[in-house]
Amino acid sequence: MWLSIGASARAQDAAGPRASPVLARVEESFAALSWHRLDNGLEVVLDPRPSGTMVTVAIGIDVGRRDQPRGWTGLAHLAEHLMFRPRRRAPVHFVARMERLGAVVVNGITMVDRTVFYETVPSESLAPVLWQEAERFAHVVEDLDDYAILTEREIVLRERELRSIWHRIAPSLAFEALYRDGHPYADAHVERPRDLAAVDVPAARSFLQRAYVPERTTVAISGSFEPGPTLALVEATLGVLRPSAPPLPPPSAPLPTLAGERRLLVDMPRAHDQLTVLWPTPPYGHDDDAALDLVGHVLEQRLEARLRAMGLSVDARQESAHLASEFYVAIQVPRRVGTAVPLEALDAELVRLETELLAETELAAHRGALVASIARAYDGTTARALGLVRRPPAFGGRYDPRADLARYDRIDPVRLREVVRRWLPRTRRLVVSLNADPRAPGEGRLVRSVQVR
Amino acid sequence: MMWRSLYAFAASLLLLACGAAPRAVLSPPVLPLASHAPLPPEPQPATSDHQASTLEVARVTLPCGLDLAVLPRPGALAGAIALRAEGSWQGDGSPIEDELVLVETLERVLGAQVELDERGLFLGVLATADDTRTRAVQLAELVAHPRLASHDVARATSIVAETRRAYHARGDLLFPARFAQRLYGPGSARALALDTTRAFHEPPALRIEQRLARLMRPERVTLVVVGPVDPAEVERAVAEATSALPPQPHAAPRPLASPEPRAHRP
Repeated sequence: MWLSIGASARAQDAAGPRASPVLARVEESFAALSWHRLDNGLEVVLDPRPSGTMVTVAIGIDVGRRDQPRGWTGLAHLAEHLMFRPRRRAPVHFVARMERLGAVVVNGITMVDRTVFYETVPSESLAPVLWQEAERFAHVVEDLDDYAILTEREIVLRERELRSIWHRIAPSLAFEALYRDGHPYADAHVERPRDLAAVDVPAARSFLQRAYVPERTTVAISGSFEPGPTLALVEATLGVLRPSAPPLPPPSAPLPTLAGERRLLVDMPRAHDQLTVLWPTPPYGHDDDAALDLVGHVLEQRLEARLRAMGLSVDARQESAHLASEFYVAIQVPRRVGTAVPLEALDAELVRLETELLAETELAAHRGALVASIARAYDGTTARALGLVRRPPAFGGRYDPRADLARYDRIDPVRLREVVRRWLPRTRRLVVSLNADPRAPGEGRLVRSVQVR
Repeated sequence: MMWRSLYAFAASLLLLACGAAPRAVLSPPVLPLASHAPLPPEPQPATSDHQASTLEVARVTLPCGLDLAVLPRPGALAGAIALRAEGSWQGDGSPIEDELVLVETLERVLGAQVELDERGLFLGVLATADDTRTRAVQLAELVAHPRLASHDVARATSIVAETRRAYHARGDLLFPARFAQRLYGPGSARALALDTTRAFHEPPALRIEQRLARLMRPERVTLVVVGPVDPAEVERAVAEATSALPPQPHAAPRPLASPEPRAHRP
């Protein structure tokens, strides 16, 4: 049997008074949201939207790259790939099986904190899709063989190859500096070929059995379906899953801190020079996390205006994660321009944010644009289901998009200034200068690492 | 026993010398398989009980010849706008550089998905619920006044040129010159799109704007707006944005002439 929890009313309370029409529309669209827990510990989130013809099934596992044992980078990603392999009982690749059922979207993503599988199909295919999902979760371990590992390892390595240079090399340099050895995120942004080469059937099996367990799993269904019969269907399919090993313990770690400013100069065979500045910041759901989202929005627009003549692109944002986040500013400039001028511009804008209060109207405009862009994504069933399988600890393990969006309405100009002072000090940060050099090796070359202050 | 310890010591020294962290032992290495309750028989997809979708599209040809279609979705959290300007690069005589820079400029200025091929220009924009009408008017204004700021074009040109240089420097496997030559033949202007070894001549901003103006013929443009909008209001706003254009009927679609394929299996 399942336990139904009427969380809608509670979410309304948490959201407080509705401050914007966009937020009111989002709240209305999630009015029929409900949470249920099955006997095996599986969490089910139902988000019926009767007007459409499609439905998205997302299965989120609260285990990601942070949970890989030491020396096994790439294992979580490889495990995700193994879920798509043909089975003895279903001898066709999972994507092909979904396409036969009319799927328009089929994918799996391995993130730092979690792993998500999802597909969007015509609503009449919901029952077979849930069955197929249950089948692959039930039998992935017993169907593993060397050939599957070998094939998927090659694909994972190829994906690594195709990722941009920043993703291949810079994270290992930047995150080594940000996260001390032993922090769950220290190795969570890299995939080392030698680690992947060590993965064999027992290793993959051990990880899958301890990571993909019902009590760490959330199923979200969003779109056109009947809640009652659908819940019974989930219980008959994914509800039969049983764990065969104790789950991996949820990781915990203190927030990282930097002792001063560290500057890295890296040569890379890329098109443009790039300045990247990183600060360790609080995790997703922390009171200051939403305020930092807004700071990113303000900073990006101001830097765009300031660097219009020379900057090629500006990206400033809070990269939120469950244990710790990074505030990230990346400014691309043409080759040979260097990163001194962008850094000067960034510092000038940071001083401005530390000393001047943002006008209420300007704050309202930024808040409106940010909330509207999040709301825009919630128009589609895929984004909704992907959002609903989140389990950030700061939200009490049960994510409600309404409570998440309502956080932005509680930020005022004083709070914004305080957040910049507290989390974005110019004396404690990591500054990475990527120098575009066609002769640099493909993996990049660390030219200098200096502790400035 | 001693030899074994020495061997382990030497192995760990070797690992440390290579900069490799010792790998954790996965525990427990062998686990029992789960004994799941049996799954029910695999169900088949249900018969669809959806009625054939009847979309309530408001469609009108404006005096300037622009074809406007609006699909209202009351209560939607987002809107989408698509613009198709029928035209062709074939026989146009424009260098391929212009195409690459125009696409990059429009992507950056409009935040749009841009496609430019033998059928013409396609722009796709995702909008927030409240911005849907404004973004539709923005595209209509581009039809009425196809102008581009020179600094936006210069920025896009720099991006295209530098990206090509970087691809060339890396000897990128995705865009090998020989593939371009096989596809388009030696000497073809279009081969430049893939062949990063060839010189890229930076086009002047004015030429890019003229290229856009040639594509933005209102009588060959179709604008589609989907979202939480009132069709009458959208029609009024788009008509106002294009009111300065001379009246003319919407043009019949041109037959599509496919280019001669040059690729062959070796």
